[in-house]
Amino acid sequence: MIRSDANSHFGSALLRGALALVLVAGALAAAPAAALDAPREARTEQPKPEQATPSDPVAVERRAKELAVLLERWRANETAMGEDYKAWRAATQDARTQGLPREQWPASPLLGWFAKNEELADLGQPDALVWCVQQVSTTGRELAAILACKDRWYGKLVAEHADTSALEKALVHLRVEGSPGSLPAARAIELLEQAARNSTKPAIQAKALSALIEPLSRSGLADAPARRKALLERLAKDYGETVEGQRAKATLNGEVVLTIGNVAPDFTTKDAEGVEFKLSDYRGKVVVLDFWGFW
Amino acid sequence: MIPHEKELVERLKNKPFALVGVNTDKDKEYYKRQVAVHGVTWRSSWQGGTNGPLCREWNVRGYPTIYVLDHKGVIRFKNARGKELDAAVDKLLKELEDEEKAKSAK
Repeated sequence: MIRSDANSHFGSALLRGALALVLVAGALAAAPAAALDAPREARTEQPKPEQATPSDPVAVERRAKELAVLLERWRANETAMGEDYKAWRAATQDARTQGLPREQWPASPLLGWFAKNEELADLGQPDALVWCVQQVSTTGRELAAILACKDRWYGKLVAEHADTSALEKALVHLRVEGSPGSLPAARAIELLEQAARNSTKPAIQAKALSALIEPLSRSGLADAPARRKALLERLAKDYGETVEGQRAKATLNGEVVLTIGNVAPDFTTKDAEGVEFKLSDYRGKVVVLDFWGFW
Repeated sequence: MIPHEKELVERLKNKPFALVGVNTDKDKEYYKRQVAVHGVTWRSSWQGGTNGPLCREWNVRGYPTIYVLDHKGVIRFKNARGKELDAAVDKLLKELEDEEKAKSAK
């Protein structure tokens, strides 16, 4: 379905770009599909030729310069994509006012941009990596090739960009992997664990650990419930300042403390008049505690 | 839900029973007006919205969320509604009554 939609977008103007894409897709389908089947060790050491070892200050500086150049190129792409999008939207508007049938509306310019952005992604530009991860499923390629790309790009993001806002954006996509047609849950778990380990920012660590719970629940692993609980406890304990930590605390509270047979934890609160009262003021009575509202 | 809660409070007004609300309306004036309009007699904690501190601590994900506690403060039922809620409260009141009877018989 996606495939035929994507193909129908290739207008004659886009033919060159389309040909390039087909070539790229062909190459990808052949090579990384094999990489997917390769043992884990072989795969993790494969994509790091340009990664700087922190102990080598010259290499670190060279990589920083490379990334600065790549960032410039990405910004240029973004600006040009914005222009393309504006032109495309205007042309679509025209086609609509002329009453043309939907098939004759102009094709999306997105596919034409894919090869350019993908080049930057493969060179490790973090924002291009996120863009590609987001868009690759719309290219109409073979699923194996799509997954191989995602695998590689996510791998770069967590290995080289664990402290960036790009990784934070990628976590939103990574957390929904692990269902049919996407990356295997085990790989999503592994990537998120790496992200949490590699990042030095507690806010990103907390987001990665919290995201991990989703593919973990989809994984069907025998120890998934125990690992989920351990994650929630870790989030509640070590990341209490973050939204994810607070949410974990509430979830644990709901599952462990607020269960039938336990004494309800007491609270002190105020009513709408500002008068303080406690739940334990009602001890000795049967109490219906009702979270409600008129809205 | 509110008519049923009112009925419950009215029916059990001479029993050792209390309905304790945790209100999640955003607008305090609106809440107070509605309390008057609907004749709500029970006390509620004021949270100022569904993301209030108690709602978060109690992991409330939907509304209404209802806990029924016995006279010792133990959580005995979660999210009972309608007739089920009536039966839950009646069962716990009966327990309390039996306990007191047993005490006075000693």
